[in-house]
Amino acid sequence: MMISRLTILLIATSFGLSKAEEIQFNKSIKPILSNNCFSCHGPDAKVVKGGLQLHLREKAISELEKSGERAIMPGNRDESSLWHRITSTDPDEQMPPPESNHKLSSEEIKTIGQWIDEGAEYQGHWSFQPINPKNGAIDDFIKSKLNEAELRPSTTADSQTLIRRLNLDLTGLPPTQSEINKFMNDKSGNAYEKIVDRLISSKAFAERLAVNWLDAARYADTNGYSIDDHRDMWVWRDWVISSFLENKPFDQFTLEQIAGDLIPNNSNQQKVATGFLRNGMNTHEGGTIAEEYRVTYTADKVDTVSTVFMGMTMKCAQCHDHKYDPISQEEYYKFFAFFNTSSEPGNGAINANTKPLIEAESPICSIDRVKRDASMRISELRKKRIKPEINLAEQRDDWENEKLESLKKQLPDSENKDTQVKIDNSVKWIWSDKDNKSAKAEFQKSFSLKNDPLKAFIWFTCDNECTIKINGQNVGTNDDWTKPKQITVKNLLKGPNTIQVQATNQAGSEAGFILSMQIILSSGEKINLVSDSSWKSRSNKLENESWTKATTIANYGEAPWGNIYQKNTSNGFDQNLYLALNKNKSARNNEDWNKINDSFSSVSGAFKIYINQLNLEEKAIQKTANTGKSTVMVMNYKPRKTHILIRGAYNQHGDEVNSGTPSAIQPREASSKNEATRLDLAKWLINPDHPLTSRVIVNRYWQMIFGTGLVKTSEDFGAQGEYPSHPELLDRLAKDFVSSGWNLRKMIKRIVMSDTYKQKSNLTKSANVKDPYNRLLSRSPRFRIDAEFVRDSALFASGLLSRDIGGPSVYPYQPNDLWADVSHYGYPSGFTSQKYLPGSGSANHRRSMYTVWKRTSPPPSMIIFDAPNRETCTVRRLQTNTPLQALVLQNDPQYLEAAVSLGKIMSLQPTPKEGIEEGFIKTLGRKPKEKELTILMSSLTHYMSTYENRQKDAISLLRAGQYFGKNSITAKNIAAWTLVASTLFNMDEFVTRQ
Amino acid sequence: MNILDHINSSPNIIKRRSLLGQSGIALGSLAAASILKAETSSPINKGLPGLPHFKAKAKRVIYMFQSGGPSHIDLFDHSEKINELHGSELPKSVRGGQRLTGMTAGLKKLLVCGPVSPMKQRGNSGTWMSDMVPYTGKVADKITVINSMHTEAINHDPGITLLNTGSQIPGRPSLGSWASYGLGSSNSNMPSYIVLISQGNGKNPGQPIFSRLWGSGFLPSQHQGVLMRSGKNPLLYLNDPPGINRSTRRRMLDDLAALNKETYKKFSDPEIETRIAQYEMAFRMQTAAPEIVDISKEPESTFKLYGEEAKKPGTYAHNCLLARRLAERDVRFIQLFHRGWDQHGSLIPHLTSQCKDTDQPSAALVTDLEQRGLLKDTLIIWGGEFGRTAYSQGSLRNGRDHHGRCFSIWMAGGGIKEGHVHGKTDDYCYNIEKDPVHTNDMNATILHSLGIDHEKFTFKFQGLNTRLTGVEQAKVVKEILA
Repeated sequence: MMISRLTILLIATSFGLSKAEEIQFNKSIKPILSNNCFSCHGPDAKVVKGGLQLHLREKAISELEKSGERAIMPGNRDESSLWHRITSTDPDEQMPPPESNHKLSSEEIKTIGQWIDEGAEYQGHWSFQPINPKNGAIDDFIKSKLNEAELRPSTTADSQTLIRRLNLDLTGLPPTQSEINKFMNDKSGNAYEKIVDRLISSKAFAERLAVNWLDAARYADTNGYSIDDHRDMWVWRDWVISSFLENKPFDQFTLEQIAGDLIPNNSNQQKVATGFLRNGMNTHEGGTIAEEYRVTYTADKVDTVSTVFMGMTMKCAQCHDHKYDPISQEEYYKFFAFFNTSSEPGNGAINANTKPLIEAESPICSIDRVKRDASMRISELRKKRIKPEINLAEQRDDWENEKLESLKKQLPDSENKDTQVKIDNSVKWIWSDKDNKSAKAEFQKSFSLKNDPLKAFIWFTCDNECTIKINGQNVGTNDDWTKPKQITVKNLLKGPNTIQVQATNQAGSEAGFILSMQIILSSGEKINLVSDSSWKSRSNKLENESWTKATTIANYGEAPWGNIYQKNTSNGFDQNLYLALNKNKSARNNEDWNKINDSFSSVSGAFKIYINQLNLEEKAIQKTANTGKSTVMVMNYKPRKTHILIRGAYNQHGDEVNSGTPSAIQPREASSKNEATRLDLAKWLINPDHPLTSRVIVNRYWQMIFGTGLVKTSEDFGAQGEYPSHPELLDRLAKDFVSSGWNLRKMIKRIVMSDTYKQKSNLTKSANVKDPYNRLLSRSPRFRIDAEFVRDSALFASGLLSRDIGGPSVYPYQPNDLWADVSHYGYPSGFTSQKYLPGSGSANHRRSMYTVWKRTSPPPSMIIFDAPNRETCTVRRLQTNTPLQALVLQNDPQYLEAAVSLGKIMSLQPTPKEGIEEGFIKTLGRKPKEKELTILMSSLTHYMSTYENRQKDAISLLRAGQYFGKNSITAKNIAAWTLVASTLFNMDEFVTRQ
Repeated sequence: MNILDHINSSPNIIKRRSLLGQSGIALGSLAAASILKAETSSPINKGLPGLPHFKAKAKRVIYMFQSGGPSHIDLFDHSEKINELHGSELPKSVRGGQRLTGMTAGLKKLLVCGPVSPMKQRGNSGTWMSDMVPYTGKVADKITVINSMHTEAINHDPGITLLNTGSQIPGRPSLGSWASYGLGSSNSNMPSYIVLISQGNGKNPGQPIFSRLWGSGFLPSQHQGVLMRSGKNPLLYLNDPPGINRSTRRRMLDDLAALNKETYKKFSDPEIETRIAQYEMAFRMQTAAPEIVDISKEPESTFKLYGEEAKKPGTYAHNCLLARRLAERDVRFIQLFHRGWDQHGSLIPHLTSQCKDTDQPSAALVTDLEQRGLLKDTLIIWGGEFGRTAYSQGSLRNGRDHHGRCFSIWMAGGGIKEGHVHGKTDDYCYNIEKDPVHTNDMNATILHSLGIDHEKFTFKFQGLNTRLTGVEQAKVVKEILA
């Protein structure tokens, strides 16, 4: 499109190509050929057109079989058919052909012509060449390019800018006032270095590095495909943090994640490390063809490892030879074979981790800490039984009122109010004779009382119609078996009594009956009489059949009616329910609540689903609460043959292949008698001579700090990727990284110690023209901090941030039902992670990297700020600037709560001026300028007067998030300050590293 | 007003100009920087220069996605012989070694099941449709039914991902986000891609759906679909919190603009200007979005047309009405997701309920847009990720399994033929006999209606010029274009 062409022109100009310096193949020619020609004349042997391949010099300059021409005649463009083709205007001759949608710019054509004239020298693809650094410091390399472009570096930024920049870049958090003061007052020569050293050894630094690694490793707390239920990989996340915390050499870090399970005498934690490969998505969707998905998971591992460590996507070669890079389809499957040897199944486990897995503890959290966190989550979930989400709570309230009213109406006579019928397992369903099925049955029980009965009532039902007589008199009937009745009986005598029951099953199957009777004698003695095998029964199948012992069938609530029956008990008089409902909410115990919830569940499907979800979530974390440990999905070794898959189809087997690495990438693997394993692969990647690993890693940390890598396409170091802006610098850093023992801290320190890093970020006119993208680093870049750090910074500045490190994921504020809207919430058996059940307390204030991550509905405030959805490996986030981001910062309860907290802090300063200064320091790391102060002072006064007569508004604003204080006198004051604090959080400078 | 006029007259631009005037930096240099930065962000989503490639028939799209796999054989795909074949065993020759899902792969006999409700020819065009969709029948002469859709996917997740992103494997941008990226927004108060979700009454909960279906994949995230929800907060984080009224918010934003201008003076970073503009757009959105979901002023005739359910937020009918209101405001891409079309069992009651949810409002949308003169430049699509088997799952008429070899969708408006049927399947509604349309062909056709050549519309990702329609050749279905 127009933009990209303009870009190429501008970059070409700014890199000084117009000065006729010698053309370098890798820098100037390869990108043109790769982009425009290789799809028909490149490495993919199957689609070579006209017998011409341009990716190798010997092929490009040799005589073409058909025409006898040479595409390229070194030194002579006029004898090169390629030249004629690219300059032709004849649609039949023209290259690239018009229908290809490719077109060379005049600048590109000119460059190719010059290159042919100069001898058309090829170079091997730059990133596959041995690392070959020149001597020099970072600044030397940067300055040399700036000189070429006739630019000068910017001057050094002021101390306040620098310390904020360092803190944001290295920890994702702004500096504190005391850190700023200490730095400003430290006049020693190494004051800056001291800060760097402190920051890179901090826990926050380890967490900050881990955030990028979670993207690369597609970390999430759910399985990803289809139902997308819960999984537990947080122990692996803790392993990552702990590795950065101990500055584990990066080669070891790599080795353990790719092959920790194959390292001889490995530790449990080294096995945990291989969770890196298991973070990919899996599925248990009904109807899944397991092998198809097993292949998909394996391909995902290939994609992840090749992107993360080699800056190569091998994906193209899954179906055919790679069109741009020298990777054949066979080589793809040789690489695939490394990961194809595990017992991981194609069908994932439901609501849980999928085998192979191990149980492990966090390397950074104590068992007690984990137990505490998991138990806290469980108690949060339990609280939701008492205080469910608002709409269900309201529905339950309404139901409670109605239910209590109706139960009051069903109460036995007032004199019996204090008495309750006992319904326990002694109360049995009785039958006339289970084998001799009869639709009519009679039951009888005789008993005698020692003195006069004071009160008596019975609770009973039947299947499905009955009449009860006591001492010959009718006392009651029930013709709805789903509704047990409770009635007072007054026909009892001192001495012998008989109860007679006539039961009929209108449906034609056997008749049954159940009863519990409560009698209080004048002596005060209580008698409980229940239906059981002591009763007599007879079926009416035959005339005058004799009485036999009643058959007991089941306890109340069990078979044959089971749950169906129990559900409907709410329609009868339920004493326990009545008592529970009749209590004040605060006086109810757990049993009361269970009784109420069970009963409400029977009439509210939505509530039943909700309670079921709570049960499932609790069950999922129960074991961790007990043990302080968790299972982690890991790799194992299970031999399996690998075939080339024709066109990538899981069931189209081609030739069998052994594991192996792409031959174009040095160093070649050592020949081994046995088939190479993941351990060999890992060792190959961390071989000091590997041309990609160290370059790719160093480039990504450069990208982390400067926003853009030396190779901008940090995910692609192949032919289609961008040539490095400073190739010698990249090699210097890569070489030194390896020779330092893959010391990450040392490498990062070196970058932030450079003058290049310390420059101002102001854009000047000349830089805007000559270095618009800042690829030459004529200034320090200015860019928005990552999603996680925007939120973390607000929490930190407002004093809310919890400094707990590691542990299970947490559930901070999230708009209602984002999960439920897309998930399988409500499916009868239920799945975990189908409904977001927000946490409370410190769950809202942990660093964002601990927020639970559901792949099909990731945290919205993260996604809105460009976090990837973690379905696939991501090593470079794009940056956008959108109205939705503005809405998050203004209205997300998370940020409002932080504003209330910061507002409160500001309000406590002696004067408004000092309050605003405090806010500036906390959010922006500097004091306000005069004009800024004026603006906010004036608004503060305005807000104060606005809330003067709007006490209620002030209080409702303060209720954003968790409530802050109840003092209504200060409410309007804090509300006004809250708006000032919120303004600060919304400033461009707040979300920007500059 | 054409799109450019619209953008030029938006308050954003005026704001930008006055800001530039004060900044003391030459307009030329800044403009250059802004264009160069366009790959990451721009104050208004203007789309790509050079797009549309040719004159578009449709300015906007309403995609009524029916998630779960509606039964083509029960609704649209008519076979003269199917009722005779009812109850007979599906011949092996018809099945042709097709891979079945794990759910019916174990069945011993595959018994053919005719449509559960009678099919009739509708309108002058004589398009066949089931009695279950009488309202759609009434607009038969306005729409094109395609009976020869096909997909490789046999399960929901890969199927729905393929249809919406062009690939079964997650990671690609969605159709709507491509449209937003290429064509930009024609409404400066609303996002360019809006998504509305409803639960079906047939199967509840329906199969899950995923945010990747409207995600932006590797495209800049500003192009991802924005969920519009029922209730008082139609967009996430839209509402000012309790205790902050509009004038207070306005004052805060004025402060913010003034403070950000101070920062701009120092750094001259065009991103700061963009941010100021985005805050203004957010402010306008706070008025525009609630106004869209406020249907209180809709006349009774609206609800006669869409059905009473349209009054109930969260229903499909309500979402159809909102779709019309969004289309009236020129939102580029509007996508409804209606769940619950996965009739493995309870085929008759569940399918009946799903049709009851969708038939009247879907047809109403066609009629309504036409009455308002919007149908001619709005492309409407109704369809799901695959069809269902001609044979029964479980006992006869109990249910149907997934079927990707053929399925039916319908399209209307935006340059699509009226009263047309495309493609033909065999007697069993099992295999395509004529004019197959792959899901990526349909996406190519949708882009074509928007004036985009799908082969030229690419984004370089991991070294590949990636396009919505994938690496295999996809073709525009010219036969359905008016």
